Amino acid sequence: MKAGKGTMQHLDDTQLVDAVDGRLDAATAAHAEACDTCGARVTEMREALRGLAAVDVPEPSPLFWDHFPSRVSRAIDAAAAPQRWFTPARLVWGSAAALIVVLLLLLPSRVMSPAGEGRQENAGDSTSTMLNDLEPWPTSDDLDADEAWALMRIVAEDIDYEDARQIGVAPRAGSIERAAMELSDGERAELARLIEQELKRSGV
Amino acid sequence: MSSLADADLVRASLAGDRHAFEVLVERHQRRVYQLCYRFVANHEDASELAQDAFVRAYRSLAKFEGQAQFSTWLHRITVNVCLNRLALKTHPQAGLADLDTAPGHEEPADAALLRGERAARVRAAIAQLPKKQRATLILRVYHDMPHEEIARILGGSVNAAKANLFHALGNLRKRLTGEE
Repeated sequence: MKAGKGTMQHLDDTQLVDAVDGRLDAATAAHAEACDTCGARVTEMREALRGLAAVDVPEPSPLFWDHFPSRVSRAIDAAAAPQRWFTPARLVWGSAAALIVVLLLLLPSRVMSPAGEGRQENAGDSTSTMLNDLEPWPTSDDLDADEAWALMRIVAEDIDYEDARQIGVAPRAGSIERAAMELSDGERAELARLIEQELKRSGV
Repeated sequence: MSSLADADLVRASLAGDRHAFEVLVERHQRRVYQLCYRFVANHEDASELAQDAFVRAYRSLAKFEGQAQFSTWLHRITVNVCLNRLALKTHPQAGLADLDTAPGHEEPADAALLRGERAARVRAAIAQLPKKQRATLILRVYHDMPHEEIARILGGSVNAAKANLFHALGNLRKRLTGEE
């Protein structure tokens, strides 16, 4: 609880969520019950959640459901053979993807930190410090228009995150994007060049 | 075959029975599609994402170890597919401005239509939330996922997941009431 007026302690964000879920400890629950401010906030959140829950997804045409499994089957056929992990193309593509994993390894402090959404400073990390001194970060819009980034994303799509975890890399959704944002334009272009080189080497 | 448990269908799929996987798709397609739709708020992208999620699941079937339920495992894959796509496509197709209606101005009299319009505005507002807030809200509100599981999927602490939900609600309120 955070200090409120006088001696009053109001619930913080996570405690309000716990209150909505009915998971507060007895002392905090007693406060939530007695405090008009906290009680009102909990009620407001409950009502908002009820309102949201009532919003359905529009039902597609029944024909959509009838055809969807065969559509998935066609997509599976069109994709690379599912369980043949050791085809030459897979290996080459995998080596390109490995470059992305290397990127994740080189930028561990930001990419894998739970708080890594923003520009987290890490004075003890020389790589991060060095990168901070490089060019300004691109905005999301810059990234969208960046061809090198587009290539990285395509290859990154094929990274198997479970495999990455087994070698000690713990990327999360969005890690590749964050990693790319750590790089300068020149560095991203160089990485893309290396990836292209790997892909071209065996004509993928 | 449709009476078989998910785990049996997975085993059959791994043995090369494509029909077994189609049964799995039929069984889970609606929930996967709905999850995707919550992220993008339009049918075209949602159907494409749902397809991608199943393709990715098929390609990873050998790694499904049966410790979790198939539906939970498939959920994780679907969420990752959606979040990866959001990393590429930062601007949702449907925007609040597209759906906004001036209150009391040529408002349809039919209550169901009004409800539909409001629902569309809410879905569009959700689709405009920051990624983690959006994912947290969707998984919690529409898939009844515990905060602990949400934290595991999205990466981060349980408290961060709760804070994301709290801020998602606040941001939604701002967007829907035009405070922003």
